[in-house]
Amino acid sequence: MSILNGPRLNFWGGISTDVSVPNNSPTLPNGIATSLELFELTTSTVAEQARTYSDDRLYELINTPDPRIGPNSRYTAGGWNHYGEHVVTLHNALISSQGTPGSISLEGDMVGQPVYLLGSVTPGTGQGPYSGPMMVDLDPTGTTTTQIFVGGLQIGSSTAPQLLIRWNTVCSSFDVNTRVLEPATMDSPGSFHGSGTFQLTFPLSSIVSYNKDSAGLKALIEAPNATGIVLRFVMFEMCPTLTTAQLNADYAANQFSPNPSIGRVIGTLATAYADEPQICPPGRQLINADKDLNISSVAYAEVANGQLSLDMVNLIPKQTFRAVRDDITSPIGPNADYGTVTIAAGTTSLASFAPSDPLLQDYYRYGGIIDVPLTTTQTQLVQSTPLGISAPGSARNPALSAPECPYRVYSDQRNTYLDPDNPGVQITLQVRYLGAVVQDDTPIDIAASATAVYQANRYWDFLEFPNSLTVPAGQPSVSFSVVPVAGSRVQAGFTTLTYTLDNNPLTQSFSNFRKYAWSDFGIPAGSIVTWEQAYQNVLRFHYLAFPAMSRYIQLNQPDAVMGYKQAILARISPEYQNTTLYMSVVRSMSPSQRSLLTSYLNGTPWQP
Amino acid sequence: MSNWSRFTALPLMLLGLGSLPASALQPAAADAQTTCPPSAVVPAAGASQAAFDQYSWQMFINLNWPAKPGQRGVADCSKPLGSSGSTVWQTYKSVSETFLPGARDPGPWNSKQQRKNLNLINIAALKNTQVVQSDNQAVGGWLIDQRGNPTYYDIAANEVSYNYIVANNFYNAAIVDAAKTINFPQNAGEIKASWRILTSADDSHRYLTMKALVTRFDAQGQPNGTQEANLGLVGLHIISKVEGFPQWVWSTFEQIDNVPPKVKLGGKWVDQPVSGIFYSYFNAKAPADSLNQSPCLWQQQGGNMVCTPKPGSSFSTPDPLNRVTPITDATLQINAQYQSDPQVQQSVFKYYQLITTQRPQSPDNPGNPLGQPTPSLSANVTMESYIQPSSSCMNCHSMATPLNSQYKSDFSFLFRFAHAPAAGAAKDKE
Repeated sequence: MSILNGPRLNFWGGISTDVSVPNNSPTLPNGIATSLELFELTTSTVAEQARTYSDDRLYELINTPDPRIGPNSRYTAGGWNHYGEHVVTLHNALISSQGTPGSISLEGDMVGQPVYLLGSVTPGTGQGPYSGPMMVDLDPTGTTTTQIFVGGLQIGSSTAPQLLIRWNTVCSSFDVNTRVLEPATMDSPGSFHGSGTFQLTFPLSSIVSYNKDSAGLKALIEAPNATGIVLRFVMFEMCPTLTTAQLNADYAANQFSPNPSIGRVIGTLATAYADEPQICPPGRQLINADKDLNISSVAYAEVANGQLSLDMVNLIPKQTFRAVRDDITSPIGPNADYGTVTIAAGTTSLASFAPSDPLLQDYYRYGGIIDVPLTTTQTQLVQSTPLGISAPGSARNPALSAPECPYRVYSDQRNTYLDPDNPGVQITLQVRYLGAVVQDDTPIDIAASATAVYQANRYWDFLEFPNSLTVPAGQPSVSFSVVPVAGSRVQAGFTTLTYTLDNNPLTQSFSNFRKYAWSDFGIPAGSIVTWEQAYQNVLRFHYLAFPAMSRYIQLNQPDAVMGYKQAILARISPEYQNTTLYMSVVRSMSPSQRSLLTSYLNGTPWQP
Repeated sequence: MSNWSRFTALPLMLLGLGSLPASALQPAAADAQTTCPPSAVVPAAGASQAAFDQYSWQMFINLNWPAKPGQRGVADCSKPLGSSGSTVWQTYKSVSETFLPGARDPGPWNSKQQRKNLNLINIAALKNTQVVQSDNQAVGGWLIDQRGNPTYYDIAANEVSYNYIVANNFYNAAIVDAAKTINFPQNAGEIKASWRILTSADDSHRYLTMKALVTRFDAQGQPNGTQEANLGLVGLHIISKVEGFPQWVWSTFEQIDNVPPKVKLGGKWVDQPVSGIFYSYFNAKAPADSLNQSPCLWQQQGGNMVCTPKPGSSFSTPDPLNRVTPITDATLQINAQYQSDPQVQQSVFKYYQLITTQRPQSPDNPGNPLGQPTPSLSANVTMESYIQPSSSCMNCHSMATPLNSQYKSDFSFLFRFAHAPAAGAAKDKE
């Protein structure tokens, strides 16, 4: 269902994401072979070694051209973007096709309308939005997944929106597909090869208004059994706006411009139905995992109403990166030529597409989704046989083979934040075999590990959970509890739980957890918090890692911080927590840090 | 413009408010516009830095034209640029004329001008404080020039802005604090000026000058009487809310002797003082780590942060500055173009330079409502002295609200100067 089997609006265009990156690593290269311990990222504080440096000196070190020039060069010691505000923006993302599976047309009443992701309105006043959606890493050192917090969606102009949704929610990517083959390297982080896929679901109640005369919108919103609107979008062909030379010149001139990553977006809006995953793509997984070429990519498939619908937006990579670095709105162009693409169930071919087929040439205008009509016999075959997508290869590219991974496990609970005294959370895992509930009792293995850089046990090994579960035959899901171990309230870090079916690594999916630590910061209870204590334990990390915050409120100026007391207290409050306005946007502050800041601002005795 | 039932196009031009709709694209290499009546043409969104800098200079000239006596905000086109007397912007209503004690109605726009009485040395005006009264001078920090004198600030609104405030009773803190919508009309404008005391050692011919009564301060920065002073303009912020730019357009100018220019030598940007120039805020002998440092040792007094001099210094200890972000080549070229214009050459304004024009690159993207401030930084050394590396007009002003309200006030901090109504007094509008 959803984007695969319901009515659709497809769009494509440009996208930018303005993440500040020095906090992606706890250390800072300060020489060819030396590093400075800069940040303690589990506690969002400045590392011990860096504390003796002045703020100005640390800024200088972060903004110095990378002393280690090479394939892993990050532009400057702190990375390619120190001044990002984390805003995600769609640029000229226009609806390009609409319709129902099997009848998607490049013409329609919504074609040409712009699509925008919105930031949150201000809690309490309802004003705004004044900023946009925000990209946030649960673990800032992670490289395979990220989140985007949004406050709504709009189709059409602000003066006459076709569709306006206001809803605070978050989506996250979970796989990195190989999306651009060439060149091998360019003046960009290596992520220029990859893509990130995101899905959001908005309930019907979040729709503020829509054009009831639009056939395209009515098809989505007034579909029988509709529970909401789902959006799946992919960002790829991303690179920082500025080259290394341009960024270094900018910083040398103290311009300190943001350097967002810019690239392409392809998306699909569709009807959401009950019992569908909110942030995970539905359907059966076909995985292209060519280890020889180090390529991995995934497609999703579902059968309904006589159609086999396949989300192939990520399956076939693009041959080369776009010619003009900052041109993100021209036509995306076709993907790499692997020869005729065949979709089969077992050894039975269901459909073939020559490279010249419009569905491949102009795949991005259709959201990358292909619908294959099925006979009754074919439908039965598809429901009982693993699918496969293959192509023989071409002069330029080897053969492509994406067999179905029959088992699939997934969960909407991809990112969870745990306060120090959190009693635990329940995780629900969905399990499918060939897209349907399992016919046999099916064991799931669960293993914990570090999410990324913080490998030492104390940073991740603090959760209790079952090492294995069984999904009973005929059941779609199983739930289990994840509980912080007793005595772990002083531990902070990042844990990944990996779920594996059938001992097959291809089935793996995961949930990430960020745990905050309780701390008294060494400040006696009952004392009045000083500026020095508030700055060193809370604000200084943010002043250095996210200087864009100080363009709003100067975090190193006592008068500015106190002068904006009410604004700060509002932004760290629970009312803002699920919005794009939360301080900090990247959810770096622990409850103890918020408490310390509150005590300082209110002049109340410290109660850790 | 069609919303302005009270204005016609002709008086609009004469008022010197003159920003025509953004649909007119300003060519980048046009001649300097230095005529009267003034006509500043805002470029379309996405236009070049040069195009917006030309707009800023046009606004600067418009606003610095000599004003018609007895007619606030109106240029006197019978006089050349640089004639003696108040400039157009000097006839704007200052915060002390707009926000009266007891929240009294400040009256119609064209009231008689009073002698200037400058007491505001708070470098951040009232942005960084919960304190209403502008006579608590120690709040916010000060800027002392190289002669040991404080820098004085004044903030004023143009007629569109002033009339909006008065029509909505927003000079009354109780009313503006309760307002749920504050939205200035098009062509609203504000200025913030910075002045230094001109001593006998200074060349006053290089400044726009003004005689005014100024507050004196003791060694701890506490008010200590008043004195007559001859002031020279060292900085001017101009903000204009023009069609197509709901986030406003932000221009800032400085007198050219504030700090030395920067040049790139050996790959690094360095200060290059011009021989023979006394820089008002720069000291070539000051250690690098003493530059651009707030003089304040912050003390919490009551609920407020109060600036007291750091140990070893007093209120009159000079605060050495330099420019952190060099003026770009594009802006320098526009400066040269306008400074060499004959009208500007024969006036004091040839001693002024544009620092930059900040505007939203994409003012109309609902997914990014701030609109991508471009350039990302803008700092006037006399007003953002200690926060230059983080200074963005648009980002900072996007936080503006009245003092006791969470509702945004359309990028304007003016309402922080509003007073509470006198106890028991009925609010009435003349």
